Amino acid sequence: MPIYETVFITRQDLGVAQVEQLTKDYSKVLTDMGGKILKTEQWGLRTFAYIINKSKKGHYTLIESDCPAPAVIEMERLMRNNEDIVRYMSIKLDAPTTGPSAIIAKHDNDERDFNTQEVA
Amino acid sequence: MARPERNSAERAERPEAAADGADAGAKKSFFKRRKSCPFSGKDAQAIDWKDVRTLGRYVSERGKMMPSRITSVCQKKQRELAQAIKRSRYMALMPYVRTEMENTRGPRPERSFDRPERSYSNDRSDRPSRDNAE
Repeated sequence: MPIYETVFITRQDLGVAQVEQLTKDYSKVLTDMGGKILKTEQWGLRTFAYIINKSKKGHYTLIESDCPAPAVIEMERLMRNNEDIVRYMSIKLDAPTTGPSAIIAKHDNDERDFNTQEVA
Repeated sequence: MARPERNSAERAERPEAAADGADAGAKKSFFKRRKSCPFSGKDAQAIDWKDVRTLGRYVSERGKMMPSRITSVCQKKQRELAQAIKRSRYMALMPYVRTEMENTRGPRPERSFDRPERSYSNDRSDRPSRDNAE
């Protein structure tokens, strides 16, 4: 089965618990159709680079899964119907990722990056 | 300068590249070191649409993608990079356009006409010297 990476953005006014509930729901859709969840990440409330649907912020969630294509299609259909989902994107990966994704990891590295640049 | 906008963007981010564009023939002797593609090679960085910090380096101050002749990214990787930037834009991690209003990173070139009445007082200190240098 191919590996997919799905990131979706939920509305700002949703609580963290609701976002996690949504994540669970969509994970369940994938697993019910024979998929396997490899990783989920909550990126938290992030500011958009531009205004989407009159809102400036949203909760980002990533789900990495190993599942058949119909499962992803079904999940995307449900996301489309859900008004709390501002945006979603699923991408097929060549290989499963290791470790947290760049968005999360970079928060820790921010200062270190600047330091190395100064030294060099 | 025939291409005002691009030149100003280059100058802000990559001063050496802007100089190179001005008179490439004469500058060749000064800039012999041709940088190789930062994404190909043995321990090269992977291109990831989620890695906003890396992608931000290949985008002008306006938010446009930088041409590979400036960044020296190879063709294959430039295509991947472009795809990654577009994905990143779609998910609102990066802007499609960055206007001067949002730009807080420092002085902007003079030429634009949609500038608000000089509201950034700290920007002004840099600008006259920049014009004199030209």
